[in-house]
Amino acid sequence: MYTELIKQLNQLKAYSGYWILYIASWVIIMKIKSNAGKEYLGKQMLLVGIIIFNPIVAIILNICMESSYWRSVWLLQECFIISFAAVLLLKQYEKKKKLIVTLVLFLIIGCAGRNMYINNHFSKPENVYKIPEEMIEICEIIKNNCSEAYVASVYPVYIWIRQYDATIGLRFGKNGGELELRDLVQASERDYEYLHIKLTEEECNILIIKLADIVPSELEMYGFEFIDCTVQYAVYRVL
Amino acid sequence: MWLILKTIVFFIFITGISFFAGYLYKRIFHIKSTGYINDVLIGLSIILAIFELECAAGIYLKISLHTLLLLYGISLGILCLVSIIIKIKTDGFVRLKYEKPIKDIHSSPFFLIFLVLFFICLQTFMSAYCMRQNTDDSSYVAIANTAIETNTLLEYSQYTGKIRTNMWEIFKRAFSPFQLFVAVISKYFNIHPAILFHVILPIIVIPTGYIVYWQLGKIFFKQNVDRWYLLLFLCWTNIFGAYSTYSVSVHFLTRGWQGKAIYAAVFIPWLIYRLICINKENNKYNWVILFLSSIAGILFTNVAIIENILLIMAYMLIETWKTKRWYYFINGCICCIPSLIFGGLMLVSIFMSGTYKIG
Repeated sequence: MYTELIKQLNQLKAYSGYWILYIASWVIIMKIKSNAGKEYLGKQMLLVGIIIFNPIVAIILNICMESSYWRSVWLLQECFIISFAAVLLLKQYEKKKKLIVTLVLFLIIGCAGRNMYINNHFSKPENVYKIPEEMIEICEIIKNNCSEAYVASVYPVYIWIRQYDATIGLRFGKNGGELELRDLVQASERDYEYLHIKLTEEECNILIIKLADIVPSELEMYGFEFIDCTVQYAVYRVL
Repeated sequence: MWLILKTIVFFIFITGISFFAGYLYKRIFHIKSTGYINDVLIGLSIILAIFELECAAGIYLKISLHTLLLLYGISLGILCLVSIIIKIKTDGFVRLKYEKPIKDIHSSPFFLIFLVLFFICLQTFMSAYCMRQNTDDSSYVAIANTAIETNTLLEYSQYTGKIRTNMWEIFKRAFSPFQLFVAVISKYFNIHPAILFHVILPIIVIPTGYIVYWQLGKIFFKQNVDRWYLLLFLCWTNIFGAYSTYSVSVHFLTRGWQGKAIYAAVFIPWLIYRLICINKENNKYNWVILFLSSIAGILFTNVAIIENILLIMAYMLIETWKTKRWYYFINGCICCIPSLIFGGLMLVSIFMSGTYKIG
């Protein structure tokens, strides 16, 4: 049971530094006399911790939460507890020393954690929708060439299309639809003849694939008509 | 330019309605002064709870999005109208005498306040302006978009646009339809859901999160300077909170528009605040808002069904043990009733539709 609990917690893929800091914060909160945190957070949060880290409860929670037991860890509110303990600690020092203590605490938090804005794939958006311009271009191509589109596309095009325009139908998405068809479209080496049969079976009239992956003449041989392309993707009509 | 204007109007709309709802609630319980930040936050919980109830019922009754728009609009309209009438009758047209939300601001070091505001603005800017791809949006934004295009509530798959045959997909979202809340707002203000989710919501959610933390700080610290330090450390711990992809901070600062992020970073602290308020002052005013907040929390994510119960019961069990009064336990159970009903209905619906699956 405990191995199951640890397996579930491992899904968090967390660095231990912050959790060590979290435990240290509780020690500080419980040590410092007459603070409201002890009264209003101490026993209550301890009980929450006991409940959610109980292996039997963890198994039940994991079933109820659709295999996302790790979400129960949100209840521990680690940032608030760490910050609260930091202020309690800071209050123990005189005004002059506060700046130094603050800087030291900043350094400890910085070392224990991981900066959100470094290597976290933030980028400048291409438009106000925060949808890549190329995806919008693909949507416009589909809309201009097909009144009722049912699209099969490679990743990540299907992630974006319905975020921009929900009038365009997809045959599969991130978690839904014809997953067998998705595997066929995503395959590194495609049997276009079989793909065409499957697309026709699923009443799919648009195929979007990476330009780099295709030989246009080969596709046209198997009943695909080239409509237009963007920098990376080609849009084909399934005849 | 139009987007900035619409954002301002949206902000005034949501704050205004929340304020009136909070004011009305305060008047019903004859509470005199609670501070307008508190009124707005309470009002926000009320309007979210109203949406949760109307939308969940609407999904089961298969009403259209337009009907929901009308129904919710009328509810908010009545709420504001009654609130305004009561205000005119009791206070007249005069300005409300509220305490300043942040008293003796001059007692706190200017540099400290500046640093906190700088960090909050930076985090809001990064979230609202910069882009970070998240595949969950193919569900979040697409649900709102699909609802608008098809004028239905969850009847069509957000991934494909096909009518849903798997009822599990409907029932698991029926009680946490935050995306439909955004769809309704999107229709009211004629803003594309992608813009509303990706740009406008972070501008509202991140500062609201820190306002809730400020309220919590008011409980724990008597002096303003300590509350500012609390916010400063919170800003810092959030920035360095990317210790896991699933941490509260990552959800809060990189995908603050998603219901689960709002629940984890804003609503759980709010619920803790409400629970502490009950511990401090045991009255009907605090109990009823805890009850409504537990309904509102479920709007964001169905995980809240379980987490609300865990949190509320943990607090109430400790309070019962401390005071030796079963009153807290019984009232706690009453506050968990919405979660139990929603959870029960969800499970019954799923089992009856025969499409239950785990994972």
